[in-house]
Amino acid sequence: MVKYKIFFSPEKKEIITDGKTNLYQIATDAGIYITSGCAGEGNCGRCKVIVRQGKYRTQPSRFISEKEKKEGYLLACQTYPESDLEILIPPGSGLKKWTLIKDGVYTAEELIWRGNYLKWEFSPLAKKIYLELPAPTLTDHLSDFERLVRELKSRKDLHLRDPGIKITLPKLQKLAQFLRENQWKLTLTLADNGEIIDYEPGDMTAGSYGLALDIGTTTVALSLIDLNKNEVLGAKATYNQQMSFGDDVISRIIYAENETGGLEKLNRVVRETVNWLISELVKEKGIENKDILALEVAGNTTMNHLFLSLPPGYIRKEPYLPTANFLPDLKGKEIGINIHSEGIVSFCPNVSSYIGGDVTAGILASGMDEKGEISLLIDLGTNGEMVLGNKDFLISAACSAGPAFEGVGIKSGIRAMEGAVENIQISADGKKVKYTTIGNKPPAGICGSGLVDAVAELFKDGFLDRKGKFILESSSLIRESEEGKEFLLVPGKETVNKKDIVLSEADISTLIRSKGAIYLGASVLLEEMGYQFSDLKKIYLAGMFGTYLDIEKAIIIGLLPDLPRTFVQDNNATYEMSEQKLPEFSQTKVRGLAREKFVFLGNSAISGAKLCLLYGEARNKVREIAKKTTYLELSVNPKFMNEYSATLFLPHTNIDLFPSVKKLLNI
Amino acid sequence: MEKVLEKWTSKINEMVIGATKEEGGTRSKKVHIGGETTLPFLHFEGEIPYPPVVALEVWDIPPEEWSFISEDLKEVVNDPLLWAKKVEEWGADLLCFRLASAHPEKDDTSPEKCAEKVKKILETVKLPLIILGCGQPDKDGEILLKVSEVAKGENCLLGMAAKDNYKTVVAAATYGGHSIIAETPLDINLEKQLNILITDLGFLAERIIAHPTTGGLGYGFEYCYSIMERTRIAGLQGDKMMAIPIINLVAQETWKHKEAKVNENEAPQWGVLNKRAIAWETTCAVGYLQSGADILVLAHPQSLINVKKAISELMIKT
Repeated sequence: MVKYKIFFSPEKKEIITDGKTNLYQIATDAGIYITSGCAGEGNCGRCKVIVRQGKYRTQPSRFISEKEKKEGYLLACQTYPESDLEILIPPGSGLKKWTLIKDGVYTAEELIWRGNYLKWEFSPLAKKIYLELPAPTLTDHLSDFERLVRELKSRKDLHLRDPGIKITLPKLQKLAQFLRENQWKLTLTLADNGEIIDYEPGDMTAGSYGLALDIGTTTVALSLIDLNKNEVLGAKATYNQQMSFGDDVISRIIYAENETGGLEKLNRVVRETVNWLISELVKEKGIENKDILALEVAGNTTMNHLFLSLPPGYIRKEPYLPTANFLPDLKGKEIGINIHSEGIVSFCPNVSSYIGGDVTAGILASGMDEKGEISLLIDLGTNGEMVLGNKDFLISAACSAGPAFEGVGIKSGIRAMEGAVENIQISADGKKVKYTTIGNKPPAGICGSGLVDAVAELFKDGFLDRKGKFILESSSLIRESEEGKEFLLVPGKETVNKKDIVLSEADISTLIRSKGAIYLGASVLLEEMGYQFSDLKKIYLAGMFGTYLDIEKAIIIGLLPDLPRTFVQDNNATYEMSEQKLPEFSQTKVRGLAREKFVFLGNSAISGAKLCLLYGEARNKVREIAKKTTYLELSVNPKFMNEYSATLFLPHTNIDLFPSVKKLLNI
Repeated sequence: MEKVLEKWTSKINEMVIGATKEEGGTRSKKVHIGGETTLPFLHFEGEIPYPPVVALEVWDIPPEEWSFISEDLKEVVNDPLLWAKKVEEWGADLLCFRLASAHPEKDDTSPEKCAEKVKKILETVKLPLIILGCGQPDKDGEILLKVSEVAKGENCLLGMAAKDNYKTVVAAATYGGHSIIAETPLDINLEKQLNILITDLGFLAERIIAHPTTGGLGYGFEYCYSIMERTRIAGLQGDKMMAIPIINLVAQETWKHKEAKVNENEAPQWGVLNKRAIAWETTCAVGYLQSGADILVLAHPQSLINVKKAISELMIKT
């Protein structure tokens, strides 16, 4: 058998291979991550690498331009070695491993707390309890374990979901000795399902922490909470390292199904991602992993499957079923997560294959399930999820919006991070662009909300026609590139990586398809229940993208319905539910926080997970929500199919649906 | 018994094709279409001021893909001018001149050459003209720019304006004072979008006729039928972008199919080709009359007779 040595830069890793495996697979098997939107199918063109030396065979690809070809670029997933090779992964193709997404981005999650959570009794998912048991005597001769249970039962502040106290055999075996050695004084760690997680000598209640985790298809976010003080200590977020295996849940599922060891790989990678975030938080806060007693997870259904190594294949096959919607409580060691080995891991339940725990957590965080008024929750992520309802009913739907909102699959796209262009203004003669970036840092690319902003501005000012095509003569900044027309937003001399930041016609089409799916999904959901947008009292916008979104611009492009709104001063946002003081970040960053009907939820998945971590009532509620929420399948809905093309226009083929835009454009 | 009548709020745009001496053209007559205030032939509900009209095709090269037409009209298909004269003789309302040779995969005839051909047709016959390119959007844009110039003042109908070339076609039509056919692929929303894009360029909606794709009989006829019906209903309900006349290219979707090609020796169960093929074109055309066609483009003279007869019967108010 032939053996080739493949050397990857900048990782400086050498891998031995047999020539039957393509470069993408070789790299990902070795833990070198190359971006890929299609998980190695050859149809996204993102896994570009440069061969510096050696022989290989490759498939020509439309994604490689003539210029790139000359420079040695090729698609890793279409290339097989035929000798030893030296490969360079260019900065655009390497998945930034372990980059923290700035904390600030996620502080917006604090914005909206469920209004009435303050009334709930604090009752975390797990807690440490200091106990001093009376020593047994001839008259008080209850056995050791029952003695412990009796003491626990006498406490009023336990709030156990399950009143039965359970102990594992190894712990039971050591109990008698332990109690006597420690004079019957101990700190017991107890999960709310009655499981004894641990016991330690003396009063050790001081270190008691929990985690709220949001596993998103693109981003993973984690909050560390002090379970004694009911206080968020810190939050971290990073890219889901599964990004190497496809942009969306479907490509991940296919990868898990079709590749040998695919599921194991995806599982390993997401565990690594979570454990890395944990280690960062632990380091920063100077705490110990064993003091993290509980983890509450809010992930979409597929992410939950991959997190637990459940085969996800049936999610995408008719009749589209997950293995479980209500996932059992697990232990840290069972799933390989670095919290207390016996620490409890609990999940916000899924509703269906495409409505996951992130959505039930979001509903919980919004509080829409408790009100009489009809409201709509839209989670704008790679998958667009929508929930309509009130205290009497909840109906959900999901549609694939694509990753454009997260700045992925866009020529100059980046995530909403420092240096992302978020706001542009074009001079009337079309010759100059004024822009602002997140954090006022030098521009690095354009993020999802910046994309919405740019398209709305270009359209509003007459540089784009209603199909989203550039009007050539309108601006000297419109130019032809190899991939079609594009608009120069920021010239290379001003940017971080010295590359031009552009907006291409293809980017605009991608955005139009995304916004069309979301708008139509919401319309269909409303129509199915006999409502109209005007019946809605609130529209909750969830997701990081939603946090930065300018409502006006979103309406101009037809992403959000044209509902009456007035601008309320950011700094004094008086939304009824934001009882907490707004974080400093939000005061300056979140634009138009309260525009009557539009309410930003921030990362509602993690907000909901946090509530579940901290309040027994939330854990009950989220289960009720999951049971109560029904699901409308859009992919078989005739209206969705028939009217999709009507949404592929700015703002919509039927302009009368957008009266304020009609007025603005003077149509 | 009470008569339940539908009350429509709007009217389909009226359009005139062809310019006579009075209007500064050289056509012998003008053709009026549109103006309906009701669904097809429901005379008791509204006005149908003009009957639907029928055009016959003339190609600048023999239509080899249409074996039956090539054979049956073999006397004329090799000579566009003769063919054009015959079309006038046969009694077509309009002549539809197709510059098929311009296709890059055929003769790739230059726009200038195409313009000359059109000029000759204009000199030879006096019917109002529909002028079609070769079906390749970019090339059609180039052709129509030149054609529009030589046909200036003749108020022709130019086609096709599609999503990739509509700007050029609109420019051409504006320059020469012509109307255009806006073509979209079987999607009512795309149809409306194209009309919006065209009118956004400052082109009058009254100068647009829609081709929402023609499905041949047995080849998607019903899809097209329902798109046309929905277009017409939307137009009558007041949607300005849908209140436009509709054209169907029936010949184009009839003569390439096997039902209009395979003879009785090969398929005895289908009956005589001659009768069947013409019936195929006629039936398809008459079907589209019922969904709102204002112009039907056919190829066979016998179909023309059949369809004209059907129209005159349907136009009788009872």
